[in-house]
Amino acid sequence: MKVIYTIFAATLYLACPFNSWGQALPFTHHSEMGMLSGRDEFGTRTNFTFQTFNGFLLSERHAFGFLTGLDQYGGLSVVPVAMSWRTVANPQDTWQVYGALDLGYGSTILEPTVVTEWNEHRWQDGGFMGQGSIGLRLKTKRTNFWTISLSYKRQIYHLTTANPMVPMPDPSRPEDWSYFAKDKITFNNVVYRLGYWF
Amino acid sequence: MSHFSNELRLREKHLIKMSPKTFSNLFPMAMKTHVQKKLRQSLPLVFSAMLLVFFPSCEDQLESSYTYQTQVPVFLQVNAFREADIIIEPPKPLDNPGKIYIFGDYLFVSEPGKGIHILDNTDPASPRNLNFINIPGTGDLAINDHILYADNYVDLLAFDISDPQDIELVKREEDVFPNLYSNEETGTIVTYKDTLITSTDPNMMWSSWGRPAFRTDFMAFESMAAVSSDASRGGGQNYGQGGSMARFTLLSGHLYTVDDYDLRVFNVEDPTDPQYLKNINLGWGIETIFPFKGNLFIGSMTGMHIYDASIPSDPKKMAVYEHVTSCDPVVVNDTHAFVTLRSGAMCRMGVDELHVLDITDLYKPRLIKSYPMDNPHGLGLLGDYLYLAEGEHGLKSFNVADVLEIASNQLEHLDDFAAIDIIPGPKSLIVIGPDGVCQFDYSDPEKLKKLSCINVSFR
Repeated sequence: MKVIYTIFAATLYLACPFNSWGQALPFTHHSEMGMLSGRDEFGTRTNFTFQTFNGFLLSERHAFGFLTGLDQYGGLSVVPVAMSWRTVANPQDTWQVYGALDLGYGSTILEPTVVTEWNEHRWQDGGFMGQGSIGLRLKTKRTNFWTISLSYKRQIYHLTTANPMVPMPDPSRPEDWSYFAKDKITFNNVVYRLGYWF
Repeated sequence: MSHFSNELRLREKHLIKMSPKTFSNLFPMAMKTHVQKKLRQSLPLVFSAMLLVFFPSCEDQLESSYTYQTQVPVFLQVNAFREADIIIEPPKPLDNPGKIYIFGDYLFVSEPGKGIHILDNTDPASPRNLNFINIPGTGDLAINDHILYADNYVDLLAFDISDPQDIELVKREEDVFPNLYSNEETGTIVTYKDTLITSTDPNMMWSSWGRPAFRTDFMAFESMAAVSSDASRGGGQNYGQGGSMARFTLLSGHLYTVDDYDLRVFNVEDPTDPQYLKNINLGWGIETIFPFKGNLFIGSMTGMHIYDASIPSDPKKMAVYEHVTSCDPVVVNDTHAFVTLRSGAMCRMGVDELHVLDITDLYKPRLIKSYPMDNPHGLGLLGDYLYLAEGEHGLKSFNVADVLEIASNQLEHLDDFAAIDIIPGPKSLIVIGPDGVCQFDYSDPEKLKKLSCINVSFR
């Protein structure tokens, strides 16, 4: 598993525009899995989340990199794509406290545009994604860590349902549609995660 | 009391004597550094603070907006437009071209609801915009022996256009398109203006779909189902045919007009004095009318009607060729009818096809073959050549000498402009689309040569 991640990271590393100074920086990786918890009109909802961080250690305490993963809100799959910064308060200890901040976009690339037999079109767009986390990481015998974290994640998502008026309607022009309904949904989540960091 | 204080003092003494090593031995889980100690103390505090901050704001937020293209009724008094003069204005740029009509060297382009542009088309390579007849509420036109007929809301107008520089209104036949009346006694007509309305009222949700379930538990699915069935009860989409434009044609001294439901017959044997004769109900979704050798071919959303107009004042139904609900103009020759079926917002569950019908027996039209198309609109037939407007997909030409092999006899496909309707004129092939009017030299029917394009003033 570590090999796969290393290959992926090496690709990222080579593609990275700042690899000129990145040469000297050690790679770091953090994968987590957990539960998104929020409330909608029906009550509490819990959804699955997975995320993986690949980046560089800027110093013993700071790491900066790229975050992606999957948030599965029932039938909706959102792929976060974000820049991520992580910091560790006490890197010398066995139990370390760390914080993370991720800013980016929640993409709905996995959600296709659907057209019904009644020619109703429906498509989905992603939006802002921001997340702040605080967690503990436990040093193992090697240089790896197990992590447990608590985050607040805010994610915006747009759903459009529309009936076209013209043969080639433009999704950004409501004039081209006889009915154009847009929902902007902001997911506010408290996230509990377990992870592995090396 | 003194015994108690002695004991306390003793304990303090013990504690002070305890070395750091002894301390950590006594508490093996204790943090080893000062930082750790501080963190450990503050952690529960941080976590509880986070919970306090996060949980109240954890409800998902939903903002919805519903935008409709709708038609807002506009009420008008008939006197208002009857008393107003019909003004011949200087040339105007094309804005939203509707129908085209050619007469002699002149090209007439209607601007639905507004009027008619007149262009001098003596040289199809450079048509000249002459003037504009301002006719509010107009839809279609036809020209008969220097007399132009056009609708003006509920009335039919006749203009003498023998000198296009000096156009004169010669007759107003009143109340012949009464379906625009909302109240005929008070002389109030209703027209509809396209309007975009945006609302955030959840009652305005019209989709039959509902939002996706953002959760996988069963209870939620039940609630979602309830919500979406509510939504479908609230709306359902059943759009009527928008607009009410008449479509005009002339045959044997009579003017025939079709609107959504009716075929109306006017006697124009005296061109300057059109007389309304009768009205024949055709059903719904009537779209186009095409005259050929004493017969009328009427395209509707459900099929093609054939009327015998050998007694021009009293057309008789011969046959109806039914097909799936779709939009469809028609052109014919002696033996075949070419019908295009297209899908589109207003055409319900349409298909995009070209149907070829055998009409040697006009009472029994028979489908010979259908060909898949992109989005066919109007068509034009000249001899063995069929020109087909494919909407946004441009213009196609076919050799239709062998009607069973049309697909393999496609000659050209010009896809760099949008085409809605076609007239094979005497000098040029005239193609109209949302972007303007283009003309092609088709003296070699297999190789179209672009002569000119008049573009609309926007987009």
